Amino acid sequence: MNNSIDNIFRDKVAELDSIPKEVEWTPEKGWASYQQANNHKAKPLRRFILTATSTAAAIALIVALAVNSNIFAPEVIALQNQTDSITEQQLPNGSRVWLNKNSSIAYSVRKSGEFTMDIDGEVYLETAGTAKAPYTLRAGNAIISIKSQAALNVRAYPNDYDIDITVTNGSVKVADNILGQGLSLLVTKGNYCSVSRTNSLVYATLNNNPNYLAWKTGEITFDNTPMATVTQVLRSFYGQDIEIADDSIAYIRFTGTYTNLSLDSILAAIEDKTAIKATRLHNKVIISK
Amino acid sequence: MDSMLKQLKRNNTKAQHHFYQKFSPHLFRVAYRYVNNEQDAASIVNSGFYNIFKNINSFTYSNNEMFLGWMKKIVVNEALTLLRKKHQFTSINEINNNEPQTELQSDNNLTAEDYYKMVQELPSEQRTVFNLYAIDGYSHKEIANKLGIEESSSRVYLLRARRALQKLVSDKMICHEQ
Repeated sequence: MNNSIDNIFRDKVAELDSIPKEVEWTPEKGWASYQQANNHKAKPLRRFILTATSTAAAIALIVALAVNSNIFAPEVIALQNQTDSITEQQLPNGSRVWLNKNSSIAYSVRKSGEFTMDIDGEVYLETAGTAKAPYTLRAGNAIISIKSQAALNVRAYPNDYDIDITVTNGSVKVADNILGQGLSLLVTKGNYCSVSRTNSLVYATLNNNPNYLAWKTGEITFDNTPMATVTQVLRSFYGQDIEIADDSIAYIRFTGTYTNLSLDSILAAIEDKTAIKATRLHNKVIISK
Repeated sequence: MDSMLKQLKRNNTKAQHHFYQKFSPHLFRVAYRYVNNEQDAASIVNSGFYNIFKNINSFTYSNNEMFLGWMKKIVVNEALTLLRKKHQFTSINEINNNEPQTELQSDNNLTAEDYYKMVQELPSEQRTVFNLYAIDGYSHKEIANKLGIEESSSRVYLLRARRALQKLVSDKMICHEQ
């Protein structure tokens, strides 16, 4: 019975409790990384004391600032891109933003310089190095805080399962605004963070998706990429239904870099380099052998 | 354990550190079994602990086994979230799902690590389904729901994983005999 395979492997794997010998990870390294990423706060009692003694002074300060900086009613500027191309805009504080198709932002800049932006769809933001006040970006249930020069891509279409944040430069902090409880993840250059819309999980890891900015640069890269992923990337980039007819094709690997080419040109390159055929059938592309 | 849990519920950092030291090796093993990549496994473990500490107040402790099972589930969910991000699990069909049933003999010359590594050698979909079904006890319905595939596809991936593992064990046994 094949159940014996399951039982044997389950029993053998259950014997193992220690770290695999070939890895360099240790609990101490893991804990150090955990603390750095999760930004632990001061103990509750100390926090309470600080809060209690500074509340009155803080309220007075806030009121004074509000009167001077028009804090209660900053002007909100909306920018929409309902076209099939990318929109680029320079913002009043010197930042630059690019909007993907069907995307919009609504931003405001207080007199203090604090910048707030709500994102719907996909945007790439390069913050100005001269800005002295923090940026707060809101995309779905994700809150992104930026305190220094940074560049990042935020994808938050309404139908997306998660909100995806990829940092190209600098660092940002990401939290979930529903269950965040003051904890946020620090996401640095070259890393990617995902915030789940459904269960508020915030997750960060090294970015290994070379095509996260393909929508902006027009460049698509495949580096020994399995065909299942190749078709997924092409499907997403070109908005074309692409189906793999034979599941053995899914494991065929492909390498190539293409800039501002049509889907047909890339499919022709795939046919040229592999034993695969791409056939158009009604509104679909079928990949077969 | 009771006093440690009380401290964890108070968000005590020292208790969290001690707890992390105690349970992270086991949970790292679980994560590593799914992603076969040290960096990803480390990230999954930390995301897992983030959620364990965040949700510790809603957990009612009864015994160590259940507690470990709860933590493992959180880590497995984190691993699947990463795997779904990196890799699209596709629904597939296989015409002949029946195969001759053969017994797999356990080889005393093979260590637990050998068996662990064989699972890691499987392609991603097969490894994921085998881990979920055979090792972590999820049903095909649950697996299909978690991976966004058909239930029949889960059965196909499991079948392929078993075939591949059977061959890997046989090859290793032949090597030992030689």
